[in-house]
Formats: sequence, C-alpha cells, structure tokens
Amino acid sequence: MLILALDSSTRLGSVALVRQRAPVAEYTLSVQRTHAERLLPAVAQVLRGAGCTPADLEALAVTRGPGSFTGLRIALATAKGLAYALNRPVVGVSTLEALAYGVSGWAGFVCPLLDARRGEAYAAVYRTLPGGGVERSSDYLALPVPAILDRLDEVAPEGRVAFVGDAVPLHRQLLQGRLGERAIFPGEAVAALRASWVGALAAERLERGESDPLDRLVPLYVRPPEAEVRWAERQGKEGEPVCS
Amino acid sequence: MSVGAAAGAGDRFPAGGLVLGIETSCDESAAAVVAGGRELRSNVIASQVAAHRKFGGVVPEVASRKHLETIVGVVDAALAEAGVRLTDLSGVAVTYGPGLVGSLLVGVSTAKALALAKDLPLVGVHHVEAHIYANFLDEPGLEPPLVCLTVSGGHTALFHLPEYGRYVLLGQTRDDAAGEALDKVARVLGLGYPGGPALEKLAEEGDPGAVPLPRGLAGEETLDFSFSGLKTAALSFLNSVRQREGAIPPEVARDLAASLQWAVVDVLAGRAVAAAARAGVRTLIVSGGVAANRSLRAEIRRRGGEAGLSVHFPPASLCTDNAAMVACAGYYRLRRGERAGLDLNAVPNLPLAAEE
Repeated sequence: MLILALDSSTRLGSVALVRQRAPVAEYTLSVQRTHAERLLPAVAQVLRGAGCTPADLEALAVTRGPGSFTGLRIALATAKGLAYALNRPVVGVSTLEALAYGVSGWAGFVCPLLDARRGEAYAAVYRTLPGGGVERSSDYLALPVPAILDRLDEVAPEGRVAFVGDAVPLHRQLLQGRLGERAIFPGEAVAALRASWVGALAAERLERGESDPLDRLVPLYVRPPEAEVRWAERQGKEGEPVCS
Repeated sequence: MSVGAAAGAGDRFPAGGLVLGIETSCDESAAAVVAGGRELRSNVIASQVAAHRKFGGVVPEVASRKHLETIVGVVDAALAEAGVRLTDLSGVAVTYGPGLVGSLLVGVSTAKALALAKDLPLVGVHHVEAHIYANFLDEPGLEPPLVCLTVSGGHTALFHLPEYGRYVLLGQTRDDAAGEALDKVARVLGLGYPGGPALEKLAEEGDPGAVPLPRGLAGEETLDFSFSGLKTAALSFLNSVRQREGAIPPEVARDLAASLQWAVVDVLAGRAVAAAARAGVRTLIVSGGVAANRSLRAEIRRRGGEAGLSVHFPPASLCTDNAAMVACAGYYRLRRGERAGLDLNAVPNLPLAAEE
C-alpha cells in the first residue's frame, strides 16, 4: 500500500512516501519558510522523485499534534483535501507517538517533549513493545517540565527513559538531574521527526482496516483556545456554570 | 513566487468553465460552483456565528478550528448541489487575503490539495475584489466600466473599475469601517453579536433626525470616509443618557439607532454618487455586508436615480461572505491567464492591486 505521510507540527516539516512500512521517498526541511509555502511543493517533489502521480496514492497519513496549531491545520487541511479528492482513507497519527516510534526497538520508556511555549511542553509517556513500536501509558500533557516528570514518576517508576523532541535541549540538565542514569538522550540523529515514521504507524492502523472519517479528523490541540479559558474563568467568577 | 504568474501559451481557460470557489477568510466556511463566471450552480455557507456569540465577536483561534472541521463537508455539499464532480471543474479559486491568517490557511491548504490531486488550475482571489464581483452573479448585463462602493465590517472604499481586473482606488475610510462603527454602537446598546442587522431593525421604529450626529470629513473635497468621530459621538450620547437616566430608554435607543444609520447612509450614498460622477461612469454597484442594509439600498437607488445612474446591488444572500463571489472573481483571473503555484500562502494584509 502506497501511503503519503505529512508532518507540519513543528518548525521542521517532513513529507514521505511509504510502501510496506518502508520509505520510498522522503523530504525533510528545517527552514524559516512557512509550512503553507513548502508543504505542497514538497508533496509534488516526493511524488516526482518516486515517479508517482497523486492517483497512485492508496492512503494518506498526517501528524495531528500536539504541536503548532497553524502547522497542524495546514497539514490536516492538506491531507483531508487530498483524501477527499482522491477518495482514499486518511489516518491521523499523534506527533508524540511518531517521535517515540522513531527510537523504539529496546526495552523501556520514551518521553517525547515538544516545546509548547509559555514555559510548558507537550508530552506523553510511551512504553516500548518487545515486537517493536510503542504503547502510550499516560495522557497527553501540556505542562511545565517538572510537572511532566512528576507524571512520568507515576507511570514509569523504574526502567530507562529516552527523551526526544525539540524541548529536550532546553531542559536537559533538569531531566538529567531528576532521572540520573535512567535518562537516555538519543541525540540529534533522531531529533527530527520523519514523515516515514508517520506513514509506518498509519500503515499498522490501515492494515487493521481502521481510518479516520474526514469530518472527525481534528488536531490534538491538548490546549483549549485562550478565549475559551478566559470565558470559563469569567463565568466561574460570576458563579455561573462553566461550559465543558 | 509563482502567485499571479501568467500561464503559458495553450493554457487557455475555457469560456463557460466551471470554477469551484472556496472562502474561509473570517467566520464563514463557504464553497460554491459557478459556470462561466456568472451562473450560480451552488452556494454553500457554514456560518460560525453560534460558536462566536458568547465571546461577543469573532475569536480567530475558534474560527480556525471550526473551518478545519467543516471545510471538506462544505466543498462536498457545493459539488453535490451543483451536480458535478471535481473532474468536471475547469479550475479552483480561493480567497488568500485579506483576513484572519489561521482561517485563510484552511481554505488555501484545502484548495491547493484539491488542485494538486486533480491537476486543476488554481488561482488566489482578493476578498474585497470578490465582494465587488458578487454583483456580476445575478446581473448578466452588468459590465465595467463602473464604480463600486465596498462597505462592510472591515472595509469602506470606493473603486473605479475601468475594465475587468483593474481597480482605481477613489477613496477609502481613514479610520473605522462603516460596519465597524455600526457594530460597536450595537454592542453598547446590548444588541448582541452580530449587531449590524439588529441595529437596522431597531432603527426602523426610530426618528433619524432625533439625535444630531456629525458627518466625517463634511465639506472636504474628498471621496474618503471617516466614521470614528460619528462612532464616538454616538457612544458619548449614550453615555450621557445613561448617566442622567440610569439606563437607556427604549425610545432613545430607537432614535439613536435611526440617527446613526442615517448619518452612515447619508455619507455613503453622497460619496458613492459623487465618485461615479468623478470617474465619468453610468453604473454604480455596491458590495459587502452593509450592502444588505435596506436603508442604504433605498437611499443609493434614490440619489443614483436622480443622477441618472444605473444602480445595482447583489441580492442580500451574496452581500455577506460567500464563495460564489470568489468563484466569479477567480473565473476572470483564470481567463486572464493567472495561475497560483503550490506555494500559494495566505496574506492577512493583502492589498488590492489598486491604482491610485
């Protein structure tokens, strides 16, 4: 099955063609240019490189966050538009799971950390599986890193923990200090999310006959809009019920 | 940047071709199919008004989230209503500015994906330009040269269109848009969101001469507008009544609404007719959300008729944001050979390529 996988969830951007869970073509950029300007040209580039046309695609895969809200919407709108026009299934994959998948294949935990600004990071804790791949063992979090580590202590009290993602360099001392030798830093080689990992994860779901309905494929924002938070606070102050 | 680049020879866009328009610049997700730039085949709009009401205005992040949820369904409905498939289309047109960047990006990304998947020509359209073209959709005989008054919550401007695709800016607001002033006063009167239509209804019962209000730039030899002084005068009037009476009596609210609306209509109609005379054209059209205001329509028809002008308004359904006007404007751009590249980006402050 030929899958086109897209990721625009961080500064980085990656597009890949994946067949039988292996990359056929992949194009990854870390540049200032906006995702809106570079995502579709990157799609055209990998298709051309692999000698394929859009009609050859059998499914779409896309990271659905957490990450930059605007980046996520660009990739999801693109993936949905392609899936709709080509009448193909689409699968949304968590950005954190894709990052964890990239360093799986050993026994322990992976904690991807993505910069969420405002002194917080997006994170989740994954357990690596003996047969390859990962399984999520925490909620999706948007918290200051110390609070994320408190959560990590609960779900992964022992065993080694690999930290990946763009927030790791910012907090390396803290991570090292709290976990000591339990902390592993796979480093720059796997710091960049590769769209081929996203395609491989999507392939697993597609092989099980699963996909996401277009009207229900939405980003994993984790955070509500700021205006909703302020509105709820105002309602709370006035003693009125807070809308869920 | 390949946006707006001319197409190569042999890439002629067919007369009568079907264009899919997509519009997500603010709080409406819209898609429409138009044949030959003029014939409306479908016009689907998913309004987000309910989602923004509790905030008293459009919240950009909420708007962006909603657009992403609805856009594919809206496109699908537009194609189904028109009874066509994507492969029947000759091109795709999308609003790429001005507007809310997060909202615009959903439409632009969707349009580009459809164009790539089906190898369709793509063109980006200016939102204000699209509002002008709304007039062409229900009036087969309407042709440039003409003057257009564009008036909405975000814009107030007068353009001379000597021919399709050329815009000479004759005048514009120096501060608030007309609709912005109306919405702001409506909000203070507790008319909710969106306030413009509610204020129009309230004004029906009031006396337009009851509250003396200033006309911005009165007596100046200009086609520009100014509504901030008018807005401030209306708000301070309400403030003084509230201090004196403790609340705004209903009859005072009605009179102020009528007086404010008349002050706006008086200025808009006067400048629009003067602009047609200065440009030397016989046709005057009006576009934008405030073009749906019945008082404005009546006064421009009256004064335009006296000046011997042919006056045209889009039907109310095409005055507010919609994608049919985008498909129409896009058709004429495609016919001129304009094409957008796959790197088309949203431009929140996109200027209309107007000649001064």
